[in-house]
Amino acid sequence: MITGAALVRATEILCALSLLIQGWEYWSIRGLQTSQGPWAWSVQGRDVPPGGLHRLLDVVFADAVHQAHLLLRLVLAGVLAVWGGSLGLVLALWLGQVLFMIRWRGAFNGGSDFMTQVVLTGLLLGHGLMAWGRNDVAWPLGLGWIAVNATTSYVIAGWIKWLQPEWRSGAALAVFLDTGLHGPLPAHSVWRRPAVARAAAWAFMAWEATFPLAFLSVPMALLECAVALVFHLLVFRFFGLNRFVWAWLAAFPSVIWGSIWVGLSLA
Amino acid sequence: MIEGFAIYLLLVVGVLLWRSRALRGPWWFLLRSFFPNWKFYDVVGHLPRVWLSWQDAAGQWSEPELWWPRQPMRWWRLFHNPQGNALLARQNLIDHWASDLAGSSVSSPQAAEVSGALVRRHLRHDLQQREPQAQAFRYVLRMEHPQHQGPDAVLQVWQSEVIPMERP
Repeated sequence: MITGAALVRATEILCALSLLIQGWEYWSIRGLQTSQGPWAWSVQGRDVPPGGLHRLLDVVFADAVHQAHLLLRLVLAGVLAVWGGSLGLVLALWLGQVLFMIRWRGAFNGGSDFMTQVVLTGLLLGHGLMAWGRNDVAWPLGLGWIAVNATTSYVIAGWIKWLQPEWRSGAALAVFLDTGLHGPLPAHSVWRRPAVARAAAWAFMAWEATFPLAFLSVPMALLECAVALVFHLLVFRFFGLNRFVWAWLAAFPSVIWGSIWVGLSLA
Repeated sequence: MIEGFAIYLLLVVGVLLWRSRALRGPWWFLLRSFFPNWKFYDVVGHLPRVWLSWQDAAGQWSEPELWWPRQPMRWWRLFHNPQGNALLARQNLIDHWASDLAGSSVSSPQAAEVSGALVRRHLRHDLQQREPQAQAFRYVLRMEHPQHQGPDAVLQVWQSEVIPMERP
């Protein structure tokens, strides 16, 4: 029997795992963001309009303070994994995520940062409403927010591709795989065969566009999430996007919760 | 709190449906993770690519080399891939620089200057790591179409001056 409490806890653990992997990577490349590094705040900070907020960010993004924040975030993610969330803890992680987005000019790793923001917002909403005394709507809104965004991410990605003739013919697949971090494809790769590329492109577009089928039942949600995991592992295999795997994995318990909620609502 | 969240939800949907390019300004750009558009690898089009050449100690210039993120595949990188992600972030920066130069960025009008300065620092940093003897470098930004042939296949949009390497 899958309970709501277990799915909240699973979300917290998977979110913490994602944050620990991200945090360890940020720590490994912290030299890039020092005042001597290529991402120096003295240069990048010119994006931010002058004023009090800019002066505050100058303090927050000073080398020593920023690196202390990186370490603190690792500790907070560890606490979330081991002891679970609270309003203060999740709020600190959420605010830290906002600061990281500003420090990386909006995103370090694109969609994985967006999904991390979504999951942290869902957890913040759940814990915030619990603290507000609204236990009745806390997790339906918190987990629901994550489930809706995860679903939207697949549906929009699938439909947008379907609108493009290069995706419908399969030609786009080889083009993008050639540009991937682990590319280009070998000259005789199976993905260069038009029939294989077309079949693979249609399979993924159809799966993405029909992801809302996950809400029909718990087995359907588990199946859709299993396919999603394979999809993200393939994206890592060819594009090197390891953070996408963990960021979306943290959203899967909410999709399963959504399938239970829809089932109870219809019953 | 619930009302505030409902307004945010409506705003997210509005940004998704509306042309997000119409929303401009540095904060829209820096906080865009609040309004994700979930469009990945959607359109096959011109790709911004930086080609770099450098001068060795004998004064010889290298052939221009494509500065594109590449890395051998290793499964353990599923758990820890800082260098790969840093390379991808550098290419994202180059993509934003190209958008800024084209005037299609959602950021501020002066963003191209910031993007350009960051790209230059990245190239100098990466070249210093790879070719410690390099004395100077120069680079061009080209928009290259992976499928087109003919005059519109490659469009050069920016060319740097010769930049001396800074040594401590």
